[in-house]
Amino acid sequence: MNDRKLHIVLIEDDKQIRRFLSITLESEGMRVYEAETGQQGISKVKDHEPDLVILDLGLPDMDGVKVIEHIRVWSSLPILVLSARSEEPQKVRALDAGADDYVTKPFGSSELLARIRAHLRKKNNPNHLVESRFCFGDITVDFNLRRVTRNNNVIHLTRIEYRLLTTLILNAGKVLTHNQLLREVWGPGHAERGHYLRIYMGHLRHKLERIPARPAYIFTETGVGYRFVGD
Amino acid sequence: MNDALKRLHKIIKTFINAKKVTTDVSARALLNIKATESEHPSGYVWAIVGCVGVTMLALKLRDTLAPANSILMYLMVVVLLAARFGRKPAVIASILAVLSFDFFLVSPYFSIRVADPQYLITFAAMLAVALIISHLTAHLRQQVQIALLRESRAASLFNLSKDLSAALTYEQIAAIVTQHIVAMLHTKISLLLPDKFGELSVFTVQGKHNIPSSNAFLSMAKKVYEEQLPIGFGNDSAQIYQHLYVPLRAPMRIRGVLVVVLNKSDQSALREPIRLLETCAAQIAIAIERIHYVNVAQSAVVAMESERLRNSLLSAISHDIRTPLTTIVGISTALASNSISKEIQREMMDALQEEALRMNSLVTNMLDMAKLHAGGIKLNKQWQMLEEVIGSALGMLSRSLADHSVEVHLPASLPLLEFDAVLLERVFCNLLDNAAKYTLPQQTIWIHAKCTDVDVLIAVEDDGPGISKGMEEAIFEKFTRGDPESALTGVGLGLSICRAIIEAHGGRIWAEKHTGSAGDARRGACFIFSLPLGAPPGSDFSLDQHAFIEESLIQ
Repeated sequence: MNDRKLHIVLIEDDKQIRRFLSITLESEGMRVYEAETGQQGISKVKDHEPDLVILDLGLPDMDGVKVIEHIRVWSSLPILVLSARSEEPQKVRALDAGADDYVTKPFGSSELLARIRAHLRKKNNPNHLVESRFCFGDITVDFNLRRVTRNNNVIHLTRIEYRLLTTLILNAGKVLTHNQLLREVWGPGHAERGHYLRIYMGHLRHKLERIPARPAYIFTETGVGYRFVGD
Repeated sequence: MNDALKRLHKIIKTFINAKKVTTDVSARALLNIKATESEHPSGYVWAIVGCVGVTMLALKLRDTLAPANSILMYLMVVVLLAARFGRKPAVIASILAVLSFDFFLVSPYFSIRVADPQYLITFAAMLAVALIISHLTAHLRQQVQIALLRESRAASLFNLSKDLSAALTYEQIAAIVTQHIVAMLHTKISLLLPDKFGELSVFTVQGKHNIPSSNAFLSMAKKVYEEQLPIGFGNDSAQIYQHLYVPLRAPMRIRGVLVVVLNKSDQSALREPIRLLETCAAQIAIAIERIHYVNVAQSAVVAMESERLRNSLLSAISHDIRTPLTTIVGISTALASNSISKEIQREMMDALQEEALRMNSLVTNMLDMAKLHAGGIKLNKQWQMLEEVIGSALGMLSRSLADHSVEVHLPASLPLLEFDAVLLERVFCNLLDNAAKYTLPQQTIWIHAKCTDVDVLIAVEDDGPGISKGMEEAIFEKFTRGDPESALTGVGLGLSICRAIIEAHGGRIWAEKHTGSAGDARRGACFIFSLPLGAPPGSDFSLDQHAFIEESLIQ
């Protein structure tokens, strides 16, 4: 992947943010295509087939969520959303529409780059999905045996907890909304059972995290959902 | 004899008429009183009983008693009757007394004829005296009754104005007016007041019967309101209108319309109360105007208060935002020049970032406060795990809490709580941020929770210097800080945001200082807030049980 520059389409209406992001990303050796409006952004994504899209939700011409829906019709490329704090419902809509992640303004360049790298790595290395085991910290998940161990000691998980964990691992780095998790783990029709999700997530943390109140792997994105970070 | 009688009657009549002219108004005013008295049959019974009694007594003592004494006894009966029952029974008694005296006590007995013609003069004089006395006494009685009525109306008026002067709202005025005027006049009333657009509408008092309002009724009231003249007064109009419309004229302007139902039967009875009503209307109008100006004054105070807040906000902004901005501008210009060493550059950039982040939290707090106070806060309440929110708050503050140790102790039995996770995360962030700011590095911050019967108490405590005495409540005020001269940045909004959020959840938040009791080495600040327990939805276990059975299959 080194022989080709990473291409990124940046859809953001604010000139200063665009400038700062372009400088940051280009100094990391990426090629940035800038777009000021949603329409422009969609056509740039079509023209350049980038590796990743950075999208601001507050665009002058159209709702950022609409842009995501447009892109998702024909592409599954990672979409990273920029959004302000206290706009949780908007974040949830964006994620439910197919965005992979969001960064809350104001954000540091290191945080943004870390997120971008995580998504690009996943995109370029889809093999980890078919690997038979996954390790994080001192915990190993064996997908074939359906077994979770910490330093070779078996951690007993219930079926739902296991399903929850595997869903999180398969989407590592990505924010999963409550709805997405409920649909994945409990099946459709349980979207209103948000508190089950919280209870089981609590159980899972108590079994996996050293300090459940200060999780190191399963992070809460308050008002939005959960994110698993395994590395 | 007849002539003499007629003449006497004439004299009496002119005498009475002369009186009548002066007391015309009050006499008319008392039409209802007179009506009741003339209908009263017991007066006539007493007239007969009195005359019969005196006659029987006089018959017994006829031989020993001089006729003059019998006459005096008759007159006494007349006086008593006039005083007790008014004129008509007394007149009847007068005539009865003369006839009885003639028939029983003047010879020839048991005959209307008289032996001695001079008794005719006695009869005439006796009748005249009896009639004059009865008129005078009855008149006196009437005056007493008028005085009593006026006194009671003055008292009601006094009570009305006393109650009105204590009224603080339009609702109270309406209730007081309804209560007093209904008691005074025994009729239905309605109070019409203009709304804030100047549109007149019936001011309804709960539990009271208003006059059912029709369009004609409303337009009539509006006419009165615009022309400021009463309708329904005077003989001509009283027949046409069913209601009496009294404008409520206050010194500054008209304040509304008082409408009183006119029943056909008591139209005449209402003649006198019209003046009373006008007095009442003036009182009501003044009370309404007073409340109007109280409201005006209050909104002026509120405006002044918000002006004061705005000023303190501005001064806070100018200080607390300019300080980091100064640093940011200074550092960035310094960075632009290439003459600084890499090491110093690194240091400056860290400072730049720190100042920018500090400003971010400042702006966030101010925006939150603005949002919470604009009433635009909409709670997205869901059943949540407290531990999760604490975890995310600690995650968000990992930078500023890096040097502190945070201990979280939550009971395992802590139930789900219903709250807005994003807002509660703000509460924890603000409390933890304070704790981190006001304690030295390496000091400990504790978070613990305990259940009571009705709520959950959550405490965030630290090891730091604690809260200055007497400031425990004040620090929750906007733009108030424990130590106003503190070198630490902040505008004093964090805790008032916490309070607004917790109160929106139906809980309380307060600060305590550790008492330093035995076994408790902690001495810093302690912030406690409560969240109501509610009924968590986990009680329907159908899905849980289902999941549990299914789950037990694995491993």
